[in-house]
Amino acid sequence: MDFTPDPTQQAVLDAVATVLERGAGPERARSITGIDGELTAALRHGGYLDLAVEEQAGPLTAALVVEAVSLANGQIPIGARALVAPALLGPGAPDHIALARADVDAPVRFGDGADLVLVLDGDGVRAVEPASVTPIKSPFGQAYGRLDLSGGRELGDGSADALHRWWQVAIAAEMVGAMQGALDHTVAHLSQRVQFDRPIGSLQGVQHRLAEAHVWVEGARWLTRAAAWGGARRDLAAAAAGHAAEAARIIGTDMHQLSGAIGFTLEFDLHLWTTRLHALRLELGGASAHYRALANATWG
Amino acid sequence: MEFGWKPEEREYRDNVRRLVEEHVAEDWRLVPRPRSAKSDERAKVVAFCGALRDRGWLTPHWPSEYGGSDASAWMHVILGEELWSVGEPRGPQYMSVNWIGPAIMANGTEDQKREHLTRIAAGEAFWCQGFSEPDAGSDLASLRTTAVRDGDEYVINGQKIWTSHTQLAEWCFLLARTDSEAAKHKGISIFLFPMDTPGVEVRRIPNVAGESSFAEVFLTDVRVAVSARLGDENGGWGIVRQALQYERVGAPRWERASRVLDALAEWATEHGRAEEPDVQRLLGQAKASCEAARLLAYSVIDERAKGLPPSPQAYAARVGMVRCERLVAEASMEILGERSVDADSLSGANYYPTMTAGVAAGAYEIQLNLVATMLLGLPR
Repeated sequence: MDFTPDPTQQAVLDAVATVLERGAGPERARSITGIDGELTAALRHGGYLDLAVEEQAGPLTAALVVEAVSLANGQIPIGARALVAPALLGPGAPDHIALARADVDAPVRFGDGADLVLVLDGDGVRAVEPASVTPIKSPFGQAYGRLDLSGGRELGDGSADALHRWWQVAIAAEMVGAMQGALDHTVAHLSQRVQFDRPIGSLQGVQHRLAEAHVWVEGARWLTRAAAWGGARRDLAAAAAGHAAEAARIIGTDMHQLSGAIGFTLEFDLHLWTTRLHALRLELGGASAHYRALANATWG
Repeated sequence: MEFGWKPEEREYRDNVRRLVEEHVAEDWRLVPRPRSAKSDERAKVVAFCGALRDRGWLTPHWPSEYGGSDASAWMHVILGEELWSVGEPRGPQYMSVNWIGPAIMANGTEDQKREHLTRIAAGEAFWCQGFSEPDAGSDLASLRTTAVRDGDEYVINGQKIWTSHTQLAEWCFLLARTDSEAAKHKGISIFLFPMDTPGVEVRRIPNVAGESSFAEVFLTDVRVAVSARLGDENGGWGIVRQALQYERVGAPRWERASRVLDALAEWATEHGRAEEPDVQRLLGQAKASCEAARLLAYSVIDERAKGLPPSPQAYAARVGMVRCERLVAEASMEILGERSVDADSLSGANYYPTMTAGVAAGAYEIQLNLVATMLLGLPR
């Protein structure tokens, strides 16, 4: 057991922080419509997209990068590219990977702009290069599209299971980053917002909800990191995704409630994290489905 | 960063499990019963602690000069997980090993260390904690029990409450006010004295939480030597704050909750309910929260294993622990339904005891206050 980053992980985190400082953040996220191809390219040039399958790094290091990109509001499918694609396709996958389920007729997150879509179809996975895309207007903060998911290359045995497990870890890591962003932003605001002659953040009713949110984020964070470290074992991946999805529901709503009316405005930025949180927490059936998967994996 | 156990840690856990199977009677395991219902408690605790001591497993994480084997804090947590989950066959000694011993190690005189640490490491020390008072619960520092210096002695007067393990305790780790003029945190001292000192009277408190060991302790003109004081006069608060941080993650409640959940899943399977989506969701939700609590606590153990001072992370870990116990208890109530009312059912045996989690070692809301101010930096 060791809960601090090793030197390699720390070096990666420091380097990625530099990339994100230049190429991500709320201001950039507000100005971007669609996928931020420049950010993906910068991360690819630095060698941060295939860490999951590099001997010196591995999936845990990749998960730390996913957390960081999501915290910094990077508008890219980082979980799918840095955690899922390496597990299924190996290194060198195209920049922009979207994940989709053949059995769910729903818009695909990052479907508008994806180079390749990994389609979970029963017991198999197909890698589809989308021919045509219908962009979808969505209040959920990311570039959604409807795609023709037919055809494509069939991946080998076990791909469906691997896709499902790594998908869970990927969304959990993105949720952890976004929850941290939403919580930090709210804490900063409530620490200086004065009403009744005192900062709102000094009121116990407010403090308790923020403290509970903090424990949710930290719990989800360690579950996610442990799941990545454990190769997305079925129970670990489901626990991380379930806990993160439940946490995301609470944080995605509570941070707005606590921030008051300013929280709904586009200039306040809170929406940059929360809208994505609500989208992420619904994927793969949401918390209930993850919890059922966890029960099956543990006692089934 | 990594989340695996070393081979020697796994081996240690296996060994402790074997010892539990050999030495701990079935009626002590998992389902807690009121302690009064446990026959020969003292003899059993002494025998079990002796078995641990003989193998060097009672105080593995202590320095060798105090009877430990310099093992990491991880060994201590493994031991705690395996023992707390089977009804804590160390009795009150888990507390001595977890925080009373370390507090004496860090703050005691040579005489105090020799006397108490030797006895704790030998598995022969039974302690209780004289902290809470009728008017000092969450606001512990407002305690009123006084210790007045009289020559080479202090004379203690006051009342303690919610004291566990008094039925076995031979020693008391007591907080008393030695300066009533000073600010409330700055006038408190700690005293270590035998429970059979004249003037100490214990009265049990009947309760629904299954804690038959809860008691009030009345202190009337209790005379203790100056040498019974731990640390400086009026310097007790700093010591107790550190001790409380150990205590907050002292009982590995996540592991026990997780095993209750295993038993619940087994019940669901036996009764043909394991495929019900609601049952699966409740079990999975509670399981995830147990594992989250485990990792939050491990992040605190990690700091301890690295020799870092106790940090406020312990408050967050405690919040996680309380949540997981409540979720498991609630899952059990929902899944068993009205069968829960049977005292011998999983709910009947667990629901009330888990209610203490959010109150013991500082109320849940106090932990939230501390998370808010110390970890999130919110204004006071």
